Amino acid sequence: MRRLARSALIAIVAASSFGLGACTNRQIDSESTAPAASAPAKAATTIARAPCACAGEVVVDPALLAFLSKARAAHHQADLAEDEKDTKRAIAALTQITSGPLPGGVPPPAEVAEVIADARARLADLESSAGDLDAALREIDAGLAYAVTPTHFRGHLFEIKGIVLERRIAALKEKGDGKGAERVKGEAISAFNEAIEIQNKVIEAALPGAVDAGALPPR
Amino acid sequence: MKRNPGLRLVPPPAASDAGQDEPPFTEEELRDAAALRETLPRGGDALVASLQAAYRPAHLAADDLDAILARALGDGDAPPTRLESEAATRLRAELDHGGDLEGEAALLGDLRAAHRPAALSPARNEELIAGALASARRAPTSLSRFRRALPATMAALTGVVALAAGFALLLQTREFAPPQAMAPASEAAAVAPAALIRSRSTEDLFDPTQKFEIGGSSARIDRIASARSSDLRRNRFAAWGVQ
Repeated sequence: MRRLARSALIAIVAASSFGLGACTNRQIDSESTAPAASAPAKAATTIARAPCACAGEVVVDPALLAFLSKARAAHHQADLAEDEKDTKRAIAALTQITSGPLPGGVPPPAEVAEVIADARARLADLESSAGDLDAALREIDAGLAYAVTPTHFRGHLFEIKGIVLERRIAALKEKGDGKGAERVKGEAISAFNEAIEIQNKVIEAALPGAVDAGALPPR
Repeated sequence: MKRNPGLRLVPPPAASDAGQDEPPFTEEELRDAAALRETLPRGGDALVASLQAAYRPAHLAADDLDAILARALGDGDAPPTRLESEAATRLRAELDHGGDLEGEAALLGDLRAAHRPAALSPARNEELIAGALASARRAPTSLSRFRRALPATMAALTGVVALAAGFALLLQTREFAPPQAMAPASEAAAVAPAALIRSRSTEDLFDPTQKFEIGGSSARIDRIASARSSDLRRNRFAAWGVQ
């Protein structure tokens, strides 16, 4: 009887281990396919493993969304700081966008580049309003490196550049540097022209049927 | 009148021939009848007693009548009838005799054995031991082979069942696994690709005719993050194969 019980126990253990092995395999498979995956990395892996018609291209994945969420939080932090007239804290909040890790490799995904360009434009505005015009122009140049095609973001950077240069003109005039102010004025006009040119291109690209406003007959 | 040759008059059976169509009694039936006849006076069979009482009712003693009436009127302390007294006397005699009780009295025998078990005589004891040893010696010849084979058979059967269950689970797993998890690379390439939403410019989220407002950065990132959050949700469903 004891031998019978021992044999039955061995058989049950063997059966359990075999079944457990099969269940483990299934669990591994289900982990790669189940919607219950919670960690962003797991979800990113799931999306990356999926066969995609856009092979070789970056898809919208959790890492990208994490970056966008971070940028969103930073902008709202900056809003709160600006409400309290705390420009320094607003700049620190926005710097978290431009200084942290970027998803998607090099070159970064379009969304990342555009968000960084927009953040640098805001940083340039804040720094120039705080009196640090050189830092503001550096932000503009860095932002333009991310917004290389004619988009609203690039146009916005040139617009802010023009504003920064206007502030420089005012500062130079305050110092009594008329010549310097004139020279910077030309740069500012050039920046605003560039902004207008880019915005025109954006409109033309979005609306193929758009016509030149100057060609319209007067009403 | 013309007579029908197919019909003839059959005369009724004579009274002396009644019962002649029954087969004769067999020897066994005759023996059973003789044995029953001998037991009738002893009144051991309840059915026979009932039949006799119905066919030829006995005289009811006055005491029995009073007892039956008193019991019918609800007197639980009514004296026993003659038959009850006789049954009680028989039961007492059987209990005093000490043998195995049968029929309705078997329960009383069991109760008595539980309350006051009788001593086992040495001869009965030896008889029981000898019987147990004899059966123990006989058992291996008939059961040992079966008992020896039973554990191995059970283990083998359980193993086979476990193997089948595992294989079924494996097949089921492969059935539910994503195509690329079970197909080679060449086959996976032939699988219809999931249409994941690509990373792209956010320009289409904004009115091309409206330039970006200074101070509108938060509103823009709100719109971008919200739109891409929706894209990511769709990508997740697409990766999971949900249309």
